[in-house]
Amino acid sequence: MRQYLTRRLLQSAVVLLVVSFITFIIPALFHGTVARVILGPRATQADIASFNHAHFYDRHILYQYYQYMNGLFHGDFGHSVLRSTLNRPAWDILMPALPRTLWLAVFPLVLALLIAIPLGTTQAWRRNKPFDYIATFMSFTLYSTPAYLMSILLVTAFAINFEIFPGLIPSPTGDGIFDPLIFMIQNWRAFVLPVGILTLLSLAGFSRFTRGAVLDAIVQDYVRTARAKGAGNWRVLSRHVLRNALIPLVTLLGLSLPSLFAGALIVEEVFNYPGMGYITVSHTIGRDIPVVMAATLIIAISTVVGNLLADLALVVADPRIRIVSK
Amino acid sequence: MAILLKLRNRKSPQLLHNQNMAWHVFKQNKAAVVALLFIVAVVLFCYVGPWFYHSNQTDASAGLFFTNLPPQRGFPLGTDSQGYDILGRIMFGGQTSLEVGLLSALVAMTWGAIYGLVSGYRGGAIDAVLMRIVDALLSIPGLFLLLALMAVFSRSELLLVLVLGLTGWYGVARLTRSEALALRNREYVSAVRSMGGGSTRIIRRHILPNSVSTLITVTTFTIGDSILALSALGFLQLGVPLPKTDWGTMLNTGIQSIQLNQWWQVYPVAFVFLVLVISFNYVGDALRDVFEVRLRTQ
Repeated sequence: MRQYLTRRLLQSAVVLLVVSFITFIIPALFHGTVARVILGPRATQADIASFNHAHFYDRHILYQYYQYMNGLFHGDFGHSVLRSTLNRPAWDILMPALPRTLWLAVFPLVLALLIAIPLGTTQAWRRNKPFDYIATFMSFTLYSTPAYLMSILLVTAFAINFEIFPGLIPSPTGDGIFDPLIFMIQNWRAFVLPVGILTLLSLAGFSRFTRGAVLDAIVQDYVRTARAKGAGNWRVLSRHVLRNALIPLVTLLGLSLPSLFAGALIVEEVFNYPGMGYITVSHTIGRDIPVVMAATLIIAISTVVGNLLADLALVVADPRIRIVSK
Repeated sequence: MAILLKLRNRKSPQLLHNQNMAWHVFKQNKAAVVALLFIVAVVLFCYVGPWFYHSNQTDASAGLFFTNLPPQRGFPLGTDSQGYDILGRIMFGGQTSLEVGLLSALVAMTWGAIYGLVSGYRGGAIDAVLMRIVDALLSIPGLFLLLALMAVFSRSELLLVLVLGLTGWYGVARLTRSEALALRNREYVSAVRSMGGGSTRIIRRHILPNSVSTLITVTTFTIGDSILALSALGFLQLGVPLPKTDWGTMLNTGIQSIQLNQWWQVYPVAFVFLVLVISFNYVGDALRDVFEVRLRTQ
């Protein structure tokens, strides 16, 4: 088990190294742009050259990468080049946004699981019956519906046609890690639609997976053995089928984080909630490359940490991993 | 990830040599046949439609007198806030969406297939390095990577094709890799090797043809995913630049008017777009069944 964990930790470190290289290399190929944006159109070639020299942009690319990594380890994610936030550290801009996005992602994840597991199991249990067909069609529809279209439709229905829930999230207060959570609970009506939309988006994948996994499991020998020993439907399902079928779901949870963050980006944009996605979009439109790269890196780090947590949970859930890879 | 999800359970991939048999299996999935017909219909609608249905899609000044008109004679689906005819605009924007979707899926397929074949066939250290790179890319949410690239480069249709292609190949690479890993230890591959066949020949003549079924299936899903991703960019005002348009950009202009109850600016295009993406999923699903030996025998 220790070996397994060490391997996973090392893998994550390598993955993060590659990600940091990607977020470094994309802007590094275009340094002229940064100098232009900061110094303005009237800067001379000499100005640009001295700016590039001051920021090590004229040094070897590997030295630049070393400088970049050095900065990252000291918490320096680069500085904004946007006029309204000029020279503010990217971390200061993004730090309040991160917990907002994380909390916005956690609730849909839990809700989607609570709905998808019973749904997918029922579908597999009654496969190729009308219920299965209808649910399959619904999951394909949900899966194919882009986050923004679902937002438009639900906001139109519940915020404009029937004014049940607000179509915008009020401006958040507080920057701590738990402040967004308190804010969400206080303004729960405003979060019903965003959380609902993200839940529906994750639901399709989870329920399809559960259906497939349960279908695979019910034809296994251990299920036949259990039946032969006289176990009833419920017992077979809960003790034998689901126990085996749902273990990979933990990994899937981790793997679904990127699409969840992408969905959160759209939802934040629609509901005007200044999370990671909202800030990234506004800085992309303003071509604030350092902040966009920092946001990409931070989201990637969150994803890798999430995957690592999922793997830890897997060790707890699946005794085979503990025993096989001692 | 989505692609991997859909393609789980694939165990013994094999291209059917008998084309009639393949069509026979495909035909059994009624929903997929309907979906295929719908895809063909949309393609005809977007490309052949404009021959029969003429409308102004580029002249901004001519549209000024016709903004936000409800459906009426001359404008079967009304007009948008720029005065462009919606029915014609769905065809016009559809061309871009379909082209960018298809081309970027081809980019993703080509690059992903090469990457996966090399990784799986070579194995060992190269495989480990290449797959860690894929892991790293997979841990960046696609939309964030898209935005990062859009922040650096200036917008154009070609850029969208490349960017969508370069963010959509991970699934293809992983599947091709596992295919190549499984195939390289088959007897016929060692037979070729013992007769002196080089790696290039083995990959080209034996591993690639045997992976075609996987590639076709994945590409079908990828086209749908690309059209989705393009529309998301369009919605974030990062889609195809003017004077062209795509469905995502149309939806973005449309939602600004939905509060005024101008449904015709959103629902028709949303309907065509959604059903098209769902259709690609159904066709991909059916193709998987066609190529899946295990399921076919049941």
